[in-house]
Amino acid sequence: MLFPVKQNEEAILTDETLETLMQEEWLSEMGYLKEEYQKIPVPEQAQEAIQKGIQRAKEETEKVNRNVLFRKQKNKRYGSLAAFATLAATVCLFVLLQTNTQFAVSMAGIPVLKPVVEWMTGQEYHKDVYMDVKVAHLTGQIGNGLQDAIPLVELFEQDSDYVAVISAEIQRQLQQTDQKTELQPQFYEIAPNQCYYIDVDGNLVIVLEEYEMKPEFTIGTDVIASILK
Amino acid sequence: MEQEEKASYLQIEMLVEQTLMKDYTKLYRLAYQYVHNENDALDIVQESAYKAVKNCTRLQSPQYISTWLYRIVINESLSFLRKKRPEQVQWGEWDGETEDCYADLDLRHALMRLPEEEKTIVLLRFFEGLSFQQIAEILDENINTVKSRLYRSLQKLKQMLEEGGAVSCEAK
Repeated sequence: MLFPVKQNEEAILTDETLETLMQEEWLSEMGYLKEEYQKIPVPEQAQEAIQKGIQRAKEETEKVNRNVLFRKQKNKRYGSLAAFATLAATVCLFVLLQTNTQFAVSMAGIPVLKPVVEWMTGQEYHKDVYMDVKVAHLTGQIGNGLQDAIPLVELFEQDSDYVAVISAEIQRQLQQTDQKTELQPQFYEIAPNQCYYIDVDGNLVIVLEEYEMKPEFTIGTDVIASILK
Repeated sequence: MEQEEKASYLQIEMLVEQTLMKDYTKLYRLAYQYVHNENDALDIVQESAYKAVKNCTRLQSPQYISTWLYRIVINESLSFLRKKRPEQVQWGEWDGETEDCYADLDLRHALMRLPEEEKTIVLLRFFEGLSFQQIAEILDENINTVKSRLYRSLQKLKQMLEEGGAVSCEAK
């Protein structure tokens, strides 16, 4: 806001009162001042200054766009390969889960994977089941495929405010980074069905596509441990 | 969808550029009215054009472009003055060959003594001939607030004039 708002100042004024005041004789002098104002000489450089300002803004915008384009092309190039790998990994996982109960139990021991396993096997596994199996490389390969399989909401306890918890964490991360805020849209909170995937270390990674420079936010398991299913 | 967004973005950007080029004398004079110095006014105008194009996605509708440009110039001018003279923002002296005293001198000096926000409204209404609706858009204020602020400003001016020529020629 340009100026501070003053309270109650529009209490009594009517349009007629203002109109009458504006018609008063002494204000006719305003005409001279207006003429003088309109005669303020405008130097030739004024047009140039405007053009320079426009140019500067356009160059900066192009620079940003080039970076975004580069990122998009890169994604496209690896996109189909990643999709294939994801599909293959998902099929592997599915087969393993169906045929190997031990494996299913151990996979269910990883907090983020538990609902995946339960969904694929149609069985429930409980938190107290603990197996020391190193599956980090496998969870990594699952990658982007998971986000289509299970909505984000399914990862969390019913009635848990996971939107607020994750949003707060992203806010925190945004404040730490030196991302220029004017280039970024304001972040309020994630969508209930926000895109996500699980990274190599089994962490939840939220994808905010509108943050073109750095759209991925890793949410530490400690942050969401209490509300995970 | 993305294509559409991009098209409308480019359209708005183009409209902003066109309006800048069309209104540049107005924008320059407005800036000059605050800083009373050619180079400073040129800097303000350039910076305003930069910000306008840079932030044109924030415009909700093309119909607001010209009032929005006024607003950017006013904000730039005020922040320039604040940086230059942080202790207080002054209207600045009217310069030019005005040594010979016209009948309007008293009103002019009275205008100089108004607080910044009131002077801006008087200027937009009387010098730029803008409607209350437009002024309200520029200042991001309620239209009634603009009206009552103008009323208050005019009453102050009148009072200053009635008190016997607030300032006269020797003030120059």
